[in-house]
Amino acid sequence: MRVPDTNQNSPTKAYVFALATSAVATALALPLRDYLNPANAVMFYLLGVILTAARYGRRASIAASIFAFLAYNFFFTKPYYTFYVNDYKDVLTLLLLLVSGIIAGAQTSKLQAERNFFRTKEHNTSVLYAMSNELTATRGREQIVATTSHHIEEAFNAQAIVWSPSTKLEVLREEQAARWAYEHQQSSGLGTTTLPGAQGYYIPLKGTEYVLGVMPRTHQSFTADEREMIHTFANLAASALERTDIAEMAEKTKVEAEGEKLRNALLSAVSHDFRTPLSSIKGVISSLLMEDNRLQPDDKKELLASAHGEVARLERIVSNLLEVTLLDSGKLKLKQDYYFLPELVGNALKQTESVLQGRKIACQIPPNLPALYVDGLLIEQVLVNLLENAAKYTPEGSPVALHCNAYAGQVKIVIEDEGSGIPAGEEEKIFDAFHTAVTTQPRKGSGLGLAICRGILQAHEGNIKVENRSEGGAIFTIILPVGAVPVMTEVV
Amino acid sequence: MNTSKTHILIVDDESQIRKFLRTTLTSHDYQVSEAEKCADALKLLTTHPPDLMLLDLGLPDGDGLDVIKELRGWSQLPVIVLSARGQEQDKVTALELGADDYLTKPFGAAELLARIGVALRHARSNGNQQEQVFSSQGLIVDLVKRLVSVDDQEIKLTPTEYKLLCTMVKYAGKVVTHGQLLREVWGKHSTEQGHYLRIYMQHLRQKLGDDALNPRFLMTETGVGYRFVLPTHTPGTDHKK
Repeated sequence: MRVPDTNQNSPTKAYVFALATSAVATALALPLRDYLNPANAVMFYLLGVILTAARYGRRASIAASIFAFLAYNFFFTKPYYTFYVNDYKDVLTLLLLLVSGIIAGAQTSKLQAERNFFRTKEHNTSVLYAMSNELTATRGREQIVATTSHHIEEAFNAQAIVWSPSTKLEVLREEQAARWAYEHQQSSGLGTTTLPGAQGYYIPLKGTEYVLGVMPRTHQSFTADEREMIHTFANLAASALERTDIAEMAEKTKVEAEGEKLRNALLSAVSHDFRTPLSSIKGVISSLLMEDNRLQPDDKKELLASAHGEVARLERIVSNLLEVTLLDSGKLKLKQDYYFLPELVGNALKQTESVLQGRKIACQIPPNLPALYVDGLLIEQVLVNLLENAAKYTPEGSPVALHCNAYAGQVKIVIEDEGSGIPAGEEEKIFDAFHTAVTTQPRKGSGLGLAICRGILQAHEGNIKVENRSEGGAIFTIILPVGAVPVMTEVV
Repeated sequence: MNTSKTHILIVDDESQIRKFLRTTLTSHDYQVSEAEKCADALKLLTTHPPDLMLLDLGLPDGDGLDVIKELRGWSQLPVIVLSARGQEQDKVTALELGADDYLTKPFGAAELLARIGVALRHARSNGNQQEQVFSSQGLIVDLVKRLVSVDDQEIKLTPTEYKLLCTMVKYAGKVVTHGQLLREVWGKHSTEQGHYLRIYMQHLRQKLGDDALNPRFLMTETGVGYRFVLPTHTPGTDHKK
C-alpha cells in the first residue's frame, strides 16, 4: 500500500538528512557559542535528531545522534576543532547527547510508525470499501474484472491483470506463473517461492477460474502487508465473480424452465396441427394408390387439389414454427431494407391465394406511401398470417379489406374481416403463443400465427392490436415506424 | 450415351427430392443424372457435362456454394439453386457467385419447369446478340430505337429508368439481385446505394402502369432482388428435340 509514507524513502537520503540536521544545528549554534550555556547548544542537536527520527525513523535517528555527537565534540568541546575532550564534564554532556538522541529518536520514530500504520489502515479500509461498493453495483464478469484491476492499479501503483485459462499472456514466464497459481490454487510469482522471477504476483481467485496478477511498476517486490492487502482485494473480486456465476445459473435455470414449458406446448400444438393435414393427404394418396380405384378424372383432380391445399397448410405451419423458434431464442436478426408496401402485400396475397379463393379482397394503399425500412420477408409473414387468419375464422366467401395510411412517422396497416370478431376479453390473449380464440368451432390453428406477428412487430419497434368492428368482424391494425426516407439526389 | 435430350444434373442429398425431380423431368423429356455430394457433382460435371444443374446448397460433404465457385472457373453452365425460405442471404450469395436462378423449397412442378426453361433459353442466347425488340405481355422495348411502349402507348423514361428496364428485360424470367442491378445500371461502385434502386424501380413501375400488388412486369423477390415476369409458357416446349 503506497500511502504518502515517510519510512520508505531511500536510505542515502535519510543519512544525508541526518547529516544536514547536524550541519544546520552547528551553523545556528556556532555563532552563539560564546553566549550559550553548553546545554543549550545540545538542544539544537537534539532537535535535529528528533526531526530526523520523525522523518526517517530509527536508523536515521541513530546516525543523526552520532553526527550530533561528533559535531558537538568538534565544535563545542574544548579544545575547539578537535575531537579531543579536556573536561570530563564535556564527556558526560557528549554521552548524554548520544544516549538521549538515540532514545528520543527511537520514541519519535515509533510514534511515527504507529501513525503511519493507522494511516495506512484507514486508507486501506477506504480503498477496500470503495471497491466493494463498486463491485456490489457491478454486473457481469468483464465489468467485475475491470473494476478490480482498476482499483488495484490505483492502490498499489501496479499493473493488474485478470487471467483465465483462455487468456494468453505474452511473456511465457508470466503465463507459467499464472497457470501454476490456477492449477495449484496458491499464489505464485514475484515474492513467492514458485517462479519468483516473474514480474507479477499471482493470486488465484478462489471459486472461480480466474487468477489475479499484480505487477509493481517499480521493480520492488510487495511487502507482507501489501500482499495481505492484495489478497483482500482478490477475495472481494472472487466473491463478486462467484455471485455473478450464481445469478447467471439461476437465470439460465429459469430460462430453461420457461423454454421447457414452451417446448411442451409447442409439441402438443404441433402434433395436433400436423396430424390433420397429414390424415387428409394420406387419405387422398391411399385412395389414388388403390389398384381398383374407380375414381372419375374429375374426382381425382379434386382429391389431389385438396391434398395440395393441405400440403400448403403444412408448409405454413413449418415456417411459422421456424420463425417462432427464432423469435423465441432471440436469434432473429432483422435484415432491414427499403420496401414499398404494395410489393410486400402483393407477395403476401400471392402466398395466400389458395386459402383466400372466392373472396373479395379490397386493397387500398395510397400511392404516396413512404418506403418502409423493414425486414421484408418478416413483414410479408405478418401479412400472410393475418390474411390466413381471416380466411380461417370468417365464413367462406366473406370479403377482406386491407388499407393503410401514414401519419406522424408511422404507417398503419389495417386488415378488416367480416367474421364473428374476437370474443370480449380475448383481444390481448390471442397474441399469446398457443392461444386460440374460444369458439364453438373446432380448433383451427396452432395459435402461433398471431404470436409471431406480435414478435416480428416488436422486433421492428412497431405494434399490432385487434378490435371488433361495430358491424361485426375483426380489425387488425399493424403499426410500423417509418424509417428515414432516402433522399434522391446523389444518383442520376 | 449420346442422346439429343437436354441433360440435367440433380445435386441433392435427399433421395425423395431427387425422385420427385427425376420423375418430373424425365416425364418432360429431359435426361437426368444425379449426385448426392459436392465431390460427386464436380466429378460428373467434368466427365458428363450436363446442360443445366439443379443444386441443393446444404450437402453432406460441403457447401453447394463452393461447387458454384469451382464450376464458374471453367464453365458457364446454367445453375439453379434449391434452397429454403429464410435462406435469402445464401440465395443472394449463390446468385452473385454466378448461379442463374433459385427455387425455394418446397416448390411445385410447374415452377420447376418454368425456371429450367428460362435458364436454358438464356444459356442458349448467351453470346448471341440480344434481340433488337423485346416484347412480352403488351410491353415492347425497342433496343435499337430506344423506344418503350405498353399496350401501344409510348412511355417516356429517364436514361436511368430505361437502363434499369433494359437490364430487367435482358434477364427476363430470371431473378436479378440488387447487387447485380446496381452494378449493371449504376456501375461497379454503387452497391452501397440500394435504396435508390428501390425508388427507381418504383418510378419505373408507375410509368409502366405496373401494379406492385399484382405485378404484370416487375416482381419483387423479397430479400433477393427483382424478376421480370414472363407469362407462364408451356414447360418443356422449347428445349432441343
